Amino acid sequence: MSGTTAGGNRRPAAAHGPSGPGTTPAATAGELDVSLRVARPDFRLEVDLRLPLAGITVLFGTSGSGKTTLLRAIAGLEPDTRGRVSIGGRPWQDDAAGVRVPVWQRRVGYVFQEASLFEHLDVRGNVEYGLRWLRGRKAGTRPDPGKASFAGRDAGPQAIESGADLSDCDSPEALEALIDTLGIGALRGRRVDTLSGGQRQRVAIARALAVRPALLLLDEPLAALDFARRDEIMGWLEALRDRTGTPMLYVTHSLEELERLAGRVVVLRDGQVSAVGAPEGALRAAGLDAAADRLQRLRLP
Amino acid sequence: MTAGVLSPADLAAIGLTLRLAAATTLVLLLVALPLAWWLASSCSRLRAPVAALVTLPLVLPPTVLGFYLLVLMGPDGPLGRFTQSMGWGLLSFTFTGLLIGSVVYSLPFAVQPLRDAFEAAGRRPLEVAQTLGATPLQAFVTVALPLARPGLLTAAVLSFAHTIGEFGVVLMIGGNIPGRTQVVSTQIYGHVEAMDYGNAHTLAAVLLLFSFAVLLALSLLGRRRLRVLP
Repeated sequence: MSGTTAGGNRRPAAAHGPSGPGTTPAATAGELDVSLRVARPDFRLEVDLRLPLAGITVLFGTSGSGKTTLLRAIAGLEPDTRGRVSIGGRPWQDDAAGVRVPVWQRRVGYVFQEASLFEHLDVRGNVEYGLRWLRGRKAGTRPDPGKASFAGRDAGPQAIESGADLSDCDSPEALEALIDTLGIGALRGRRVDTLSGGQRQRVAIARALAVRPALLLLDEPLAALDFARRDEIMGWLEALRDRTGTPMLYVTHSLEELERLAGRVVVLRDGQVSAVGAPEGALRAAGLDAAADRLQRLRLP
Repeated sequence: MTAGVLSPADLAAIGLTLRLAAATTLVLLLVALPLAWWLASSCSRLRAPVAALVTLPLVLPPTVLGFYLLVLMGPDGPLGRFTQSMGWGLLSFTFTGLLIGSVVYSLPFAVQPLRDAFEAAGRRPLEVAQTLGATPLQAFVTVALPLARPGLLTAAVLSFAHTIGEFGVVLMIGGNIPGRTQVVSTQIYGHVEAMDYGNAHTLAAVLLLFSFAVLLALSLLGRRRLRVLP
């Protein structure tokens, strides 16, 4: 993400293979730089990635390819991960330098497959949960260089100025704009156990975005939903991509989701990056020609 | 003494029992919360032995437990030597001694429901809370604890009720001293020993009704929880 502009439609020029460790130039302010290793008896992950902080990047691969582990490692939820993660030039983890920013200080939004709402809080309590910690730390916190603004170019009259800093991220207007964008205004006072699957996932997305994360991580957020709900949520995600400018990493093994949402694709196989780039090109570069053909067919009117 | 009327000694025993049960419940919750959390979330190799140790009072005869505690608190026991060196005297045959015995004896009743509740909620809500900016402690207080509220309630009620009903441990440690360590169960024992069945009946009925009321309340609470769940 370059600064705070909405960059959902940006596409890399061409697909390319994975970059090797140490071969890439220094990370810039608009990039997510990931160089991580996980070594477990039953699984190895070795990933070197440099992604622009803009739009939706889909992590694509079969079950067991390491998508979720990579996402969790970026969030700081995998303690046995070694390597480096930096966002917009700011390190979240650099084991060589002894840096490891804890999860709660990373300002990362995470949407889990099963929504994982706080069952003891209502919808409002869930959406606003993160704001209290943000308010508590606001005084001593500098604006994050990689931070996205809440409301971008199409956010309408309630839009917050692009480039707004942390001091107004919890303003009522910003929260209202988010709640409107996700269409959950009417659900505010509801108990979360009365919500449908699609509504739960929208609340989970709003909750993650309410703290204005520098990066939104989504782990197969539609996997537990039926076709109609999936279609609905994808519409909301497209709106968020275009309005908030928050860069997203989106894990899926669904070609439909990839086709509709992906600005670029990272193909993972056996814990390694097979290819990175524009969707169809990356699939072909990873040797997934059948999937690329299906993607092409999905794009036909 | 006629049956149906509680003597001053009976009333004193009831008062002491309630005081002991309340204090035990309070101390137990403070001890059991971190312990249950650790048992539910730790990957340490010590977890299995600690879990077994915590469950031990459930299977040990109360007299065995009481005996060991008595030895520990006695003049030659490590705890007794410590309390004496601090100028607190010996804890055996005192309310504090009784309290320590009750806490150990009811420990599994407080730890298990809490551990079950923490395990049922799982790690995920805490991970979510941390991605939203909460430190582990903040996440524990604002998410794990409220989600474990049913377990907390069960733990408190069971600890209280179990302490009310304990006999062997308090007899070993407390020695049934009227006004100091004589609780309802040991008072009933005293009545029976003195062939005073009328008063034994009255006190036994009080305990029976109380225990029934506690279990009924727990069951009603459980039913209400079930009703509101989807």
